[in-house]
Amino acid sequence: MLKKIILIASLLFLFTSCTSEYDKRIKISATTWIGYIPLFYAKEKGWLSEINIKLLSVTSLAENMYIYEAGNSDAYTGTQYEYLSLSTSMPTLKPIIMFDRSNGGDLVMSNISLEELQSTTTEIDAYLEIDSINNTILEDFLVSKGLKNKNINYINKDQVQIKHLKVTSKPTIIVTYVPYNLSLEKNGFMELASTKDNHDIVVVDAMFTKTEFYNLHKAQFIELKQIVDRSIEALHKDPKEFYSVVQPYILEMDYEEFQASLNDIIWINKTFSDKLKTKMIQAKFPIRDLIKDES
Amino acid sequence: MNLSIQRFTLLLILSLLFTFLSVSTYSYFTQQEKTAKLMFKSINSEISEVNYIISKSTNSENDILLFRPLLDRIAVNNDYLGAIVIHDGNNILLSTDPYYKKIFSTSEILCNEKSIYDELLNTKAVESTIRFYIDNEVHTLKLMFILDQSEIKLFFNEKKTDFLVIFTFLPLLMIGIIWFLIRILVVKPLEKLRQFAYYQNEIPKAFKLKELEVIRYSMVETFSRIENEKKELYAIARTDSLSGLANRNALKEYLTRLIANFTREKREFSMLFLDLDHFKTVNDSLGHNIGDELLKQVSTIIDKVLRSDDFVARVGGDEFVIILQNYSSIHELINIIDRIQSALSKTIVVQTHPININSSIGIAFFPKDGKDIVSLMKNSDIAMYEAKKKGRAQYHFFTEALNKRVQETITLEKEMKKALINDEYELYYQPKIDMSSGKIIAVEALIRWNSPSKGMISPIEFIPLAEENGFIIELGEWILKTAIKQQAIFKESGMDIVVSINLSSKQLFCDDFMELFSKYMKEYGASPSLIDIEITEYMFYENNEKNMKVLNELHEYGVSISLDDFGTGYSSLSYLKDFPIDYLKIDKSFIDDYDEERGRVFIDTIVKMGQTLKMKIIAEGVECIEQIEYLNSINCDQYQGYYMSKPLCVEEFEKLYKSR
Repeated sequence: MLKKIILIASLLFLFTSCTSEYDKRIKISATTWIGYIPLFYAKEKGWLSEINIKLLSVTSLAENMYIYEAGNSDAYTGTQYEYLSLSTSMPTLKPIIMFDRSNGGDLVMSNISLEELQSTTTEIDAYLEIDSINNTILEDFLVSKGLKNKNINYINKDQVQIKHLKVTSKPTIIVTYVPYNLSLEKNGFMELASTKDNHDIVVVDAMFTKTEFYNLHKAQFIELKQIVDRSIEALHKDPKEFYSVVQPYILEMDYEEFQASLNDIIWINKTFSDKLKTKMIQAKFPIRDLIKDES
Repeated sequence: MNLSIQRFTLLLILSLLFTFLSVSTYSYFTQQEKTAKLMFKSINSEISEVNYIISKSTNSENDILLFRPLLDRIAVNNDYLGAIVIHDGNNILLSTDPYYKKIFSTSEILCNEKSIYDELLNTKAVESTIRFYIDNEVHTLKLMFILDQSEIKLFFNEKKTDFLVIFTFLPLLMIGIIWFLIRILVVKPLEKLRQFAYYQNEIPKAFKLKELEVIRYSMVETFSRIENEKKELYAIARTDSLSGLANRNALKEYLTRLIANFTREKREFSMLFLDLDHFKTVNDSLGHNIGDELLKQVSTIIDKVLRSDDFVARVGGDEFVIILQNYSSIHELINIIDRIQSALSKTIVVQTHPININSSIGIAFFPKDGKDIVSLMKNSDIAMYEAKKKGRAQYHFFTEALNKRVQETITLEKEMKKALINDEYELYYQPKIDMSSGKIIAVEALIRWNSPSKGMISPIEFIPLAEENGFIIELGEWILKTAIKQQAIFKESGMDIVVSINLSSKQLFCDDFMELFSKYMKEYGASPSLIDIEITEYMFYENNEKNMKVLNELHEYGVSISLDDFGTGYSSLSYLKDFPIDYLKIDKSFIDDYDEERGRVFIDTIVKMGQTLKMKIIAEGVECIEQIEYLNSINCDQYQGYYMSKPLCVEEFEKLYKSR
């Protein structure tokens, strides 16, 4: 009788405990930045659900960071800026998967030329996501272009809002990134500078989570890294097919623009140069805990 | 209805479990409803809030796109929302999930389920109408929160799992543990107590539960007391209270077992019925207390004399029954009886009174004199009365023939010993003839008993008895001494002949044999080369190593060794190889068959074999010339037998020797 009870209890426990390979559903939040687009490809392909990962789509880098901070996602994507902003309050936060390095993907746009900006005496509106890498890019732009002493009116907006800006007579500077630049170009704004022009500013995109959470779900993250690599391979192999899958997330871009935007980033998911490594270490961006490439 | 504690506990636990699970299940479903209601309320509140913000901030349909970050944020932060959609009834104006393109109809949105939980699981979306004004004209759009059913189901499934684990698995585990503990601590101890009460074969070890331990302890104490009392009663019922010996009951039990065993094994045992002579006189003259004390001492004496595997019981006033089962011969049995009677015949002092008392013993054998207890008792009793009739202080066998034989044996034994003292033994000598020369070259010394009352007694009558009672050692020493002495005399009188002496194995095994032999040899100045020791094959059966040692010592001393009666015992060629044999004496039974082909083959073979082994061959029992001729033809060395001469006294032998 005792044996029967133990058997029933054990079976019950088995049925209630072993429902899938990965019990915990991991929520990852990401913006639709071209560098993170492989995640959306994997989502639509069903690869993420296979390893019980839910991808949350967010419209701004800063918002993404705040969602993670609030505990509504388990890992988030962002640049080193979003990492450094949170790492002070979360010492165990670490980058685990690298995506890309911006190579023109982050831009400064304006409704007037650089010379006009330099010569204007009126207030300049500067649209950007202040709590993001946008701020670093803007500061670098203002200093390098001699605009530091100008009267700047900082306006904090999400890129989804920024992309709807119309050209007005007031001097305007916009810090944006691919693919939002395309809407702005259509609205009459012109590119004044980008990360392609300034090699001193390194913008890298990665996925971050806390060490303790990573350790608990290591296998899931390792598989995720493989899926990211697989998505990027799929992109290289058949960009058109890739574009057709992710197109709803990047409605602003047609296929040509999508291909062009790929030139604004360099994939560093598998390897990156020693020079970049040095720069990242100098920028206090730890790279030793990155998930190693299995292949 | 009898219900075991185990089942009772199980029923109790199952009842508790049923009640607990019923309450828990009810609570679980109530909680599920409440949670579903709360979830609905939260989503409705959120949609209402968003609706308000959008309504108040929208001046045109294009403004709707500016709310994308807000809606993204809400969709991301709410696990149960799959997407947020704003549509005008025909087209989707904004969606937080670009892949989401469907507009649900009102019928798809509204659900009428019995429970809120079911409604929540079947509701695809929650919808609200955004009202905004362009100038004074009201415009409407639909704000739709698409529910993420997989997340909602996952949430409730997790709750269900938690419920199952907390309210089902853990209680079941607890029940298992309780049931196990009750089984270990209560049921098993009770079962052990039951078995102990029933069989009393194994005392249970101490129990953990105090009350059960008290019961166990009490039971152990009670059963222990009962067992002791039982043993005491058993002992009382089987012990004679006066002597401490077994009583009639114990005798009966013992005999019942013994008869059964001995019947199966086809063995014999003897029953001795012992009665003290004139015990009544002791009672009458010195009083019963002295009589009782005497009986106690007699019992102790009998008990001491007997061996550990013998049995004695007091069956009446001065009557004892003794059972003897281990004895090899009548002689050994008589020895034991003698020891008993001898021990009892000594003066016994009872309370300063020296008492001399004898005993009469009647003997009956199982199964010969009786196959059951009654007949054995009756017949041994009869035999005891026969002993009394013959003058008391005696023993008597129930079978008259046996009794007669025993008495004769005893008489013979006594006379045999007496004869040695009275010098009634005499050695006769039978010559051994050399086959080639026809001369007497040796003699075999043979014992003869010349009794003044019975005349000449054949050694066949008294030698086996002497072997049995050990008298052969004394007699053998006399033979050895006399034969050695005679050899010296023969030598002195110019008769240069070998004297053969027959030795018994018992004599040879004596530790001082060689010492004695050399003593006599020196004493009489006998020549070792003229002494021959005759042994039989039976000597090889026992104590082989010791035999070989003594024979080797004799051989080294210079005497020759003859193997007598060769072929009649369990001959083994290995003896001939290992032992220092000089002469092989072919038994008369072979020589008698000399005239048959088969007989000749045997004689011929023995002669050839012996000679090959460098032994000389002596033919025994030669009675006619034809035998001599035949033996001569096969090169036999010597012969002995009536053809030449029967065994002769010294004087006659000397005459014979000198006449040739």
